[in-house]
Amino acid sequence: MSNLLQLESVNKEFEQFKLQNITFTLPAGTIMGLIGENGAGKTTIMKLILGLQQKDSGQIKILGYALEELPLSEKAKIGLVLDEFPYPETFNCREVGMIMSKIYQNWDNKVFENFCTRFDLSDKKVLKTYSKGMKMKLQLAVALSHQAKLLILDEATSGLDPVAREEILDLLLEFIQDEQCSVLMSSHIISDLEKVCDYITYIHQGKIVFSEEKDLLREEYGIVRGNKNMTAELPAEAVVGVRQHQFGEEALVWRAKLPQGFSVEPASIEDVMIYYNRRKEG
Amino acid sequence: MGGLLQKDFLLLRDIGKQFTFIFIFFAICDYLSSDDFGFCRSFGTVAVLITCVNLISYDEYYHWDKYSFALPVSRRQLVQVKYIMFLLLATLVSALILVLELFLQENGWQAAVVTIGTLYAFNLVCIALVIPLVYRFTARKALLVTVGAIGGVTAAIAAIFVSYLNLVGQENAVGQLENIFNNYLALLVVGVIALVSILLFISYQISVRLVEKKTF
Repeated sequence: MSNLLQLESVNKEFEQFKLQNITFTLPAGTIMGLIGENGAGKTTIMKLILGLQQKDSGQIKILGYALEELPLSEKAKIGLVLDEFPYPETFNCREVGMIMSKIYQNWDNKVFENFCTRFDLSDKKVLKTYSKGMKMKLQLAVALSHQAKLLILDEATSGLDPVAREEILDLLLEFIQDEQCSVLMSSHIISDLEKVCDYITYIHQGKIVFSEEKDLLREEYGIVRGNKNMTAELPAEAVVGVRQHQFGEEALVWRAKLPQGFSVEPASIEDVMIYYNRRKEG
Repeated sequence: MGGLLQKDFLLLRDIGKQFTFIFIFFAICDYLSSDDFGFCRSFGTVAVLITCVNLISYDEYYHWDKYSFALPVSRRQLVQVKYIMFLLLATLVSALILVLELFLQENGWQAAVVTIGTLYAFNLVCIALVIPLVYRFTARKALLVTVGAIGGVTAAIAAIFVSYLNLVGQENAVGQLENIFNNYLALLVVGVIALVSILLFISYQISVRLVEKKTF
């Protein structure tokens, strides 16, 4: 299985924020979710990958090429869905298709038309009358109509209703089915990522906390619940973070470091993120 | 590049509607009230420049600029397309005004060609000056830059002309200018074309550099 995207020790410094030592790999046939709080650096990573920002050091490899040497023919294999709608709103979806067909050599108009029909995107309406969900779907229709191998989605599902989100997530699963294509998506809606992602990369204050297989995360971490002094009984090296509430305490633990005898419940990705965040803040 | 050009033509269709309407209105007024298309000439020059600035500012407004950097086109091509559009637009509007002038002109076709040719060159010089500034300072300041540039170029030309008139006197100046036009017209035309071409080339290169350095 080849890697479609590879970041190695990527650094980028701004006046008040820096990305440090960003390293992760996205194998073909997988979906990776980038998670992290606002301002953690998710969008900056996306921008670095897309060449919208220049990295200070490190290496970014896309489809086997260093970013700086990526030929336009390979760049055409990247599908994009950005958080900001990029098409002039006085156009209709047919006009967007016409334009993009001349930009992407591998453009398949039939596929685009099928997506437009499937998403109910009327070419009789101008884009400014589209809802946020429709605009997102149009971007996705474009991204999926030029035989992309790598799909990059920045907050593509935020602001959408559950039905639209589900539809988009199904499409992403369809997209990677042939094991040749991959998706990198950032989202605040962790339940969405939990449904479709194979890998989760958690960024906190410009640093990667972990970049792991989602299933491994579930195996590695668990939640232990108990009374108010419960965490004192836990070995310190097993505890990732603690949450206190009215009736007792909860702790996210490394299962492997926890002695036998504790009742461990499965941890969600959201749990892992929240407890890690508390630990860092603590 | 075809897709980018098509996108700009479609944008032009949308942003050019009001200008076309005002242009037709001025043309009718000019036709009914005077023996030349003075309003049309002035409006055409300003409208071309504003439309050029708009074509860049709309890209920014619709976030197309950011998106286009991630498309399989080079940044040089993005700038090339804009300059091609500006040239086409300036040429089209000048040709249109020339046709109108020829239709009504009472001073002969040479005078119309010289007037419109001068305006066309002036328009291209303004474009060459303004576009790198728009790329540098973003389109928010574009309108100010546009007005400033037109004012600046006009004031500079007027100042040179006034100084010239003061220096040699009005009658002598007219005589000298007639002499230049009669004897050195071809040289003058070639010189203006060369100067405008060089300015446009420098402007294009500066714009490419600015766009290549741009980040989001």
